Amino acid sequence: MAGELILVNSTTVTSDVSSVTLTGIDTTYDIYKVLITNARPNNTSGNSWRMRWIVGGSPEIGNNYFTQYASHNAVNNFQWSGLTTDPRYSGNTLMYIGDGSSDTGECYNANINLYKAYDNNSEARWDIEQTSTNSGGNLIANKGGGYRKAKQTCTGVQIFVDSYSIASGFFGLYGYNYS
Amino acid sequence: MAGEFYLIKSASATDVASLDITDCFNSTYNLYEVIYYAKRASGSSATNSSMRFLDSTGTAITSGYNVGYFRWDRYEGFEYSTTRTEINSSQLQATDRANAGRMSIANPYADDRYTTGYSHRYMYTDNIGGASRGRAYYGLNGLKDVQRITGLQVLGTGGNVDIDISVYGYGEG
Repeated sequence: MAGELILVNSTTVTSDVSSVTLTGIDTTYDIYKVLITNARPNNTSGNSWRMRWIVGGSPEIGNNYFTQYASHNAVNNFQWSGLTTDPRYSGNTLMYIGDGSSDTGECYNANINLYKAYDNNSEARWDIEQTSTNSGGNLIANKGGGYRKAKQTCTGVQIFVDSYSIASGFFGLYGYNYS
Repeated sequence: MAGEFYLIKSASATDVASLDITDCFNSTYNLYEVIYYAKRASGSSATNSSMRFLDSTGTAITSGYNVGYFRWDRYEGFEYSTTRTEINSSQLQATDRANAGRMSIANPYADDRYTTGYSHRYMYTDNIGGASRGRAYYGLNGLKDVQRITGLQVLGTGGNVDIDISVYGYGEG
């Protein structure tokens, strides 16, 4: 129904998994949304949360992912990352979606919109609002987005943590229409 | 309801010192969206509006807020602190001035983790540095304390305000 947010696919992680894959993107909805709440890796020191498109049934591991974001925290003012001066996230093999750890009180949360993911005449885009706690124990909030410089049909996303497993969290894929 | 963006609660008041929207966070939802509007009340001398979380007894929490946000107007700047007594503080320095914003809040009801939020808000600042101008903020507004948050308070400083606020939840099921 127009204007509604419809659950397409979800997974609730309660024990260690190497990654979460959410599929179900097709022509049904104009925009897809990924929600991640209460997510924790299986380490307490923190690390990067990451995402890749699912193409042809598998994670797209090729180069040309670009990510830009502004990171805010309460201790070290803010930083811009992912711009051309920061090669980590320009032309990389993955999308960066924030930091998070599993120390006391900490967890990772994200609201990610996916645009033109299924359209093989467009380079799929995404944007993100994300809150968590970084490896220094500071609350952080990120706002940004990115894309992969390739026109391909993406049917889902793979989410994982650099060097660690995902220990817990809710991961949902939703769809909604412009009108 | 499963998979929906669901209106949990709305509240409005005119010419009040503060407004509490109670029991708007619960165990059903983990991620919330808050939309609010605070206007200087008619005849009021309010200078600011701001927001606080309500604890498990419905009492406003007055310490422990962490903020870090970018500030846009004719100049650019940033603010950050781990010792704020409130969040989303914005100016109301003249008649009809109002503050509006949208804030996402994660895990307020969980009692074993911090409550983190991302907010966008807009205000108008009068005669600071000799130039009145609009100003937008976006960034972190959170509480680095492990406790259950059950609601929100919007309050005025120095006078009364008119308040509208709505709280939505993302249904995960």
